[in-house]
Amino acid sequence: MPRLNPNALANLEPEVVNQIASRRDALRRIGGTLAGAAGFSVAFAAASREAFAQSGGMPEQVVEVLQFALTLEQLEAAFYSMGLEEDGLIPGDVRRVFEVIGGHEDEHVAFLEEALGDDAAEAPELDFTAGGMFDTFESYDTFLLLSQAFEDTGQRAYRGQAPNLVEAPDVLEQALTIHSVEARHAAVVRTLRELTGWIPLDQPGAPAAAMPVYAGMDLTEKYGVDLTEVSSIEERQITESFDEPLDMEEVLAIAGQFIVS
Amino acid sequence: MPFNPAPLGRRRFLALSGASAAGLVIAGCGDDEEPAQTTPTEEPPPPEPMADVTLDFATTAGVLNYAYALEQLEAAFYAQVNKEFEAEGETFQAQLRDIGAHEQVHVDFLAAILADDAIPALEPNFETVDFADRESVLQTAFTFENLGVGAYNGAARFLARLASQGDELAPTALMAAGDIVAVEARHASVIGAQLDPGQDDMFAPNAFDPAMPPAEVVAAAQPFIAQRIAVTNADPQGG
Repeated sequence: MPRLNPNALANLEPEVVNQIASRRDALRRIGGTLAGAAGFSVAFAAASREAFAQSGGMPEQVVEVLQFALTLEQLEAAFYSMGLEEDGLIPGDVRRVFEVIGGHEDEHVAFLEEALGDDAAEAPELDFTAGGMFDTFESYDTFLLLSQAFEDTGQRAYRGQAPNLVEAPDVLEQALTIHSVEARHAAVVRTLRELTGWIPLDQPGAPAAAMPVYAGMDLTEKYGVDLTEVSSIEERQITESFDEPLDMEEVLAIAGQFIVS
Repeated sequence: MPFNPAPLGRRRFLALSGASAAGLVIAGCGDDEEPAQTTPTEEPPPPEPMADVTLDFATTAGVLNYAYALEQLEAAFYAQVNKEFEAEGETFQAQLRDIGAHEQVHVDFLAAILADDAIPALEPNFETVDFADRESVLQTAFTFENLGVGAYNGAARFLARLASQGDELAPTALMAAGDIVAVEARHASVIGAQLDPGQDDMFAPNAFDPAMPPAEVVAAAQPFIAQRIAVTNADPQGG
């Protein structure tokens, strides 16, 4: 059943409600067929782990990447779960957005824990104020800012690990199917902050502490191609067209501010 | 192997050719297809329609041309949207212009790195789209963006395989595809939220995005492209 907002639909005639419901079903099928059948499950993660077990275990590099991803997902999952528990923090009209995002992060955690099996680490101890720097769960603006930073960082982190998964194409593919979901999350949160869904040249309203999240995203030359030369599109839109990776060290410098141990 | 992406430049990006030009290859003639069983007494089967473009997933150029085809489709779509569709509100209009510009940059980038190996310009067919109608425009946009995400995600394993085999350009192509797919996903999210503002999950319908096999992507895109597109060596589980 599609989830409908009962308040918005209270005054509509039943036929209209049915029409909307069926339209939403159709829309969900567009997103859904594309994902649905292919959507990875925890069972798939287990199968993937089994496959590696038969060939003498998962390569150390792959374990390291998955462990890194798990830490980030645990951080994100805890962030949304704590934010959603805080009375009055998240306005009612956008609460659903964060329930959806938080639900996805929970699924990512479950998937990675299953893929890692006994190698999976416990969730870290977290401090979302970063030692008192942020009033994270007292201010919706701060909560939004950190949400955006975590999603943009998460996406760039997965992208940064792609080169380390070339020899494990199944894991690479799984990581990418999470990577693009983090990008979707980042875009919707940015939109809630009245920013563009993509990452522009400058970061209005972002405190200095958030700037490493956006390091190296202002490139107009990509892989040896000077885009200002081959394209007539303006520079701002050129830099928005590619999302560059962050490496593990850069990501941990950002996420580490919130990790106690 | 060490993962050393090479800068590509526009000069002779690919010596290898991943694109067969017009009409030389029969559509659907994949390596996983059974040869047709015929006996001399039977009527000959109707000829397979000829493909105008065949994308060979055993080559980096073929995979990049696949991306190039989809980006051409998207860029042409938004060019028409931004000419004919009146979006309500300046913000949304600006978003659609940005998205169109991003797709054009992707086209320009891929054309530059493919150089002489690029497939010909594709002719779009948007006769099923009503560019005056918000629902029609947004649903088509959402379909294209999700298709793009699924296509890039599903193409990664082909590039990874080529990289493992020592293809020098595949690692760079994989990285570029990763940079681009994130932006496609951002587009899908923004369009999805417009379909269903604030209340539902169309910005990210699933916790895991699709990784679509090329044949499925091409089948979904074909109605919007005048030329016939075929894929070969495109079985995700194939060696």
